[in-house]
Amino acid sequence: MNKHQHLSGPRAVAMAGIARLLCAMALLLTPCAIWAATHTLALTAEILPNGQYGYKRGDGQAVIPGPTLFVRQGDTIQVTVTNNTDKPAGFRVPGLATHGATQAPPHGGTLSYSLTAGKTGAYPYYGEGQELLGLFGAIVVDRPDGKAERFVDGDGALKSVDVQQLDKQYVLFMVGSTFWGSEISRSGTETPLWTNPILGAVKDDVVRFHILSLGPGHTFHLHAHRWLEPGTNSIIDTRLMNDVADSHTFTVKAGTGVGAGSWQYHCHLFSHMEAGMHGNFRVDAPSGQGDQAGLSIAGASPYGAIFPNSSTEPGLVTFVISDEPGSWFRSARGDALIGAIPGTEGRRISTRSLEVIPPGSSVNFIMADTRTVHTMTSLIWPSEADDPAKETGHAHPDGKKPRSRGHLASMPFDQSRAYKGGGIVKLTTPGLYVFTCKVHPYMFGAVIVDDPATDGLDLGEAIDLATGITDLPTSSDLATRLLRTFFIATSPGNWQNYQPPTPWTLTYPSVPVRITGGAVADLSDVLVARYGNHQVLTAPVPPATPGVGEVWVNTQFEKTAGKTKPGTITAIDTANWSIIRKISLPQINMNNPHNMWTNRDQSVVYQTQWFDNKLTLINRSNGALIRNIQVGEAPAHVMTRPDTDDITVTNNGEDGISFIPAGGTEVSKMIPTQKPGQLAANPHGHWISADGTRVVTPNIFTNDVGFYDLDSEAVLERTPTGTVPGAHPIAIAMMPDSSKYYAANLLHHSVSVVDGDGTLLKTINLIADYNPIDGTIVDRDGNGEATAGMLPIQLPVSPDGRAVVVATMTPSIIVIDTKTDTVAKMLPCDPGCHGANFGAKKGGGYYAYVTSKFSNELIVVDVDPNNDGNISDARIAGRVSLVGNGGTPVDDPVSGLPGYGGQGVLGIPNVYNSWVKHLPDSWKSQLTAEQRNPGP
Amino acid sequence: MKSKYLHATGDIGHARHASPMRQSRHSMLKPVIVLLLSVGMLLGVPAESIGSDTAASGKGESLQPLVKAKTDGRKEVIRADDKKTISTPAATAKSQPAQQSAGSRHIIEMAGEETEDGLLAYRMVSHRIDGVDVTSRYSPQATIPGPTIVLTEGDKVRLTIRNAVNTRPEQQISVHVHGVHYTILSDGTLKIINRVEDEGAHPQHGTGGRFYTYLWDVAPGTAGTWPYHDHNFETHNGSEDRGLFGTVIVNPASGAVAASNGSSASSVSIQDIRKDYVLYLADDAFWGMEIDSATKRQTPLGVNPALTAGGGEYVRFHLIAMGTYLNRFRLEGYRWLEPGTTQLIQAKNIGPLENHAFTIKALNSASYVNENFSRRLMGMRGSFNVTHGTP
Repeated sequence: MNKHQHLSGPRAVAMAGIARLLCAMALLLTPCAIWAATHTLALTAEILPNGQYGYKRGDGQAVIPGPTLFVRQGDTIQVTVTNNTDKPAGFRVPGLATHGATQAPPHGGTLSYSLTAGKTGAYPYYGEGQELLGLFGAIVVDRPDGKAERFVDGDGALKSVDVQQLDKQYVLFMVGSTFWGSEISRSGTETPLWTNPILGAVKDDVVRFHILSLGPGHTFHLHAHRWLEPGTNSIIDTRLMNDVADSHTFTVKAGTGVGAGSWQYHCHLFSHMEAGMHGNFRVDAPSGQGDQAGLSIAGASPYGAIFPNSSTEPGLVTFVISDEPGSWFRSARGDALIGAIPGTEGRRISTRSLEVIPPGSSVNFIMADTRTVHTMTSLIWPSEADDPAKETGHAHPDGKKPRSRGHLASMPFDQSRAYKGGGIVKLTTPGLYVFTCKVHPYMFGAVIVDDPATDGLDLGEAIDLATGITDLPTSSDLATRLLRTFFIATSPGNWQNYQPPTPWTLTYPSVPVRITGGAVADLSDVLVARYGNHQVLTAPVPPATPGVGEVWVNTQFEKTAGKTKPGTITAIDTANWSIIRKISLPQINMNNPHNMWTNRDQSVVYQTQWFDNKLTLINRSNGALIRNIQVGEAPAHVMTRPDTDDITVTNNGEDGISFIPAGGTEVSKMIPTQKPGQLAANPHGHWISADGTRVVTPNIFTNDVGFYDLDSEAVLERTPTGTVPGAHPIAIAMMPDSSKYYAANLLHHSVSVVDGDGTLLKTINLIADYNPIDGTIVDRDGNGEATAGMLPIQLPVSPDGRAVVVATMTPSIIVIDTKTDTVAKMLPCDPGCHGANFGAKKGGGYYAYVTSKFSNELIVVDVDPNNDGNISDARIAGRVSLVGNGGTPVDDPVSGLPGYGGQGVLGIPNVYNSWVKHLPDSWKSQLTAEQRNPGP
Repeated sequence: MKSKYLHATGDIGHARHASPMRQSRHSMLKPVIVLLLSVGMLLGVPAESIGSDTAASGKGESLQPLVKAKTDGRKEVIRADDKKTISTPAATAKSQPAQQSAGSRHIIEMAGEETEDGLLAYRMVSHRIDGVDVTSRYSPQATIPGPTIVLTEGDKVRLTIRNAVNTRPEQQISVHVHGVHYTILSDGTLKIINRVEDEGAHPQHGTGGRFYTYLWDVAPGTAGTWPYHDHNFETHNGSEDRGLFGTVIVNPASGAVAASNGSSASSVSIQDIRKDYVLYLADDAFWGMEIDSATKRQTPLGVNPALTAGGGEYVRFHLIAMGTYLNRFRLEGYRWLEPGTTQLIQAKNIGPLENHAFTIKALNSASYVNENFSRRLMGMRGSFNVTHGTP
């Protein structure tokens, strides 16, 4: 364990103490400040072995939290900060007056700051912009008289204590969903305790806690102890730590009135508890523990065992949760694994979302680069890792593996509500772990827990999936297909580029992996052998027949120069399939635009920002920003009521649907998607009944389809989808007469068919023809077609009610015949096939516009080319590039990932039944009679 | 009484029958207590019953469960009316030093149940105070929030939890309380946290003990409003978010609290408080409970309730947050005291499991609201209706 002397101030501290005493005796009648001490603090920001940052003082070790400085009220602190990290990092101490430099020291540069300790208390100092990555520490300003906070004794008496009499002090930073701690001994030695430490004390020790927080807020709770809210006589045992920055210092007498014990401390935000935000305050009996009594135990640290660093201490790798395309779980050490894995010297590892640790080390998540809520959820884990008997030696009474919320075992890791913060989880079983966000289910981070004693990186014998699949061999086609999906999603270099058409060359980590049966193979060789490489792509050729109006595409990953967040809208003229304009809205830093709808007269486009909390109103005719409205976290889809033109937005990160009256400028209410107290539903892609009275939602977190009355806000029905938990319904479609609804079950690879009253009619298995072990796709369900629709997402019903077009990540486009509710056809799609919606075809019929996240073209499907009602001739009518050229009108120049990220797509005019009937005549006149009146 | 003796020595009795090995691991127990417990064990007396008061034990307490450790470490449930396990109060009382205390002794049994909306809730099964049965104060149904346990500094509580969620035989329900004193065996947590014992109750056909008993010492310095909640169901975090939460009100031994008249503060006798309102700020609704001071009857008020008071009456609000959101509470038009100060405030930030209690004189009708952006839009607000004149 590393130790260093705590910053006990200048040599002249004794004299200053005398001066303070005199000052106190003089009752502040004299200008005491002249006796105040001046402290110097030379900090250097360094990169730690796991890619996080930490401050060191002088030649000490860089640590998290950074060195603690103790001063007294009235003192002056001269700080110099040298930045040896790769990022700018300012220096801020909220609450203390700061003079001198205001800007961030550049890489390798040093700047000086001067602080005045005007008020008592603990103050976080931090490197602005990088504080959530570890650049923080505490300055403790003590009272001039040397008194610490009073403590509550076992008999209720409030006792005074001098700082000098404290047995020890703890500093605990609450950052993300992780505690970062250190301990300061009576003699002033500070010892780093890293993450979620066990804080040791002997009963009746008088100890002082300095709780500090940065970023999203918390509540701090310590079991069986009580203390004073500073400045009051109020006795508390739980304390709010407000958003952004907060601190709270208190003193307790360990175990007073309650005795020895292992008392938990934790954040009391429920999702943070589920995310692992807890530790123990171990109060030892005064005797019987030998010299171990009162010793603290450090938690996992950036200096511990992480691949390839060997250490006897547990290590910590950290994923930064980000809005950045492909880097949603970005290892803090990025691609530093390159070269570390034998045989990868000089190669590209192609993903920044993969980490390798030995058993017993931990994974830390920090939502440091995102503007909305997420979950840190297990998607894949080694089959043995959810067995508490194997994980903890704590045998389950009935011998069965519990499958709910990770009883005692660390897997599966999940939180019941999306939140801001982070997470931390210790992984003990070798094998492959993939984490995702339930709100944004293509955010992936993978961890290989590798037993150093075995050959190859351990993918393990078998994996369990959040979808209910258990004991799937890691050698199976489904396992390697999911791995391939991971390496495509997390590496923009592996995305398909059609402008110009470039052979699709995939790069995988070329590393030996150990799979089922202990076989060792090269991961890249396996994936290339199974799925090929260097596929030749052809230039997109648009449909011969024009559409009607425009099609707007959320090119959600396209980056522009004037904003930090990704995403543009690409508007296409269907008369000639040219790009009308790109809209990126740099003035509001539009963030991951995901889904759109229009108002009744098609003059305003409503745009959700899925990694934010805003609905944006855009002038359709010129692409100008009209208004940015806060709606709720992670707004996913937007639709209007056809009868009133009121706006509904699903808050994918929360538990309701935001409602904005037509023409309104703010949300008037949020319609709950569950009854009070029930688990949050977190709806994604909803649909509204043709009469406008009902909204139907796919409830991702609760695996059901919800039916709600828009007027009374009543919960009418909740229809579970999937026979086992984990279906993850993500989008809803509706027959023109509202007689049937279709729900895409992303993780069950199926479509649920539900009638208007919520009765489940049928579940269409989209992978009936697929063998997950050998990967063959043959006609196993006997419908004459060999099809596979893995990971289905959007699935609109054609406005005439003939077909359901399902975008799936096989990738494929599955066409379902609504007469029989069977799969009629499979068409090819691009990687990350995602969005689909219908628009009118010129002269009659409809086009389904299909987008793909990891390519930069739009696929146009004609579901019934001859318009005879038989959809067996459904075909791809053409493909349209989403990449602009020098002449494309833009509001901000495109700077990266051109045309990528296709998700929400919208045909304008809106030709779905009910909505089409309210179109202005200028639009109606461009439609055929059938198109104007497609349904009842 | 033993518990008083324990309090006088700075510790309180623990909730479970302790094995000699466990005693040695938990040497915070004073030797004399270890001796008492050992004597109890030799006689086959569960630890809890050593401290039972005469009235309670004398009536046999047919629902009083006791848990005894067997030599193989597994639990066995014994009903207290099994004569073999009953100690004679006189015999145990004689062996303990006499100690004066003004506090009352509460014998409480609660059950954790499922509600029709798929939530979980606590139900009061039995509550005796110094032998007097006060169970009729409570709703006969399981409620959210759970029963409000009103105590006074100096009281002692022995609370037994029973698990009636029979659909989940492998899951424990526990009671983890804030604020009051208890030893590690009454922490209401899983062994993975407390390193000693799984401190919860399994259902009737479950795999472990059906009951668990907690001892609380409502010591001086614990006055205030505190939550209790499950800590064991499904995970070591428990299922407080599913409805397993309730309130402990510890009135100060002084019998008075500070109150606001709107513009000034004064001291008000607890007896002059007409009503107590418990309002839990859960993630999507306020869950209310009202306690009539005269009758002590508790009325569950459901979600976002309309609170009623008579003009000029003193009423006390007990706010506790629960869940994942941070909240900001406002009672429009009112100002009240920041706890432990003389400062008047008109809004309060409350994070999960924080408590905030205040007493005001009801003057005008008003609305209360959670000002968190999305929680307000979800309908987290209600009315405070103040009526004037003689009804």
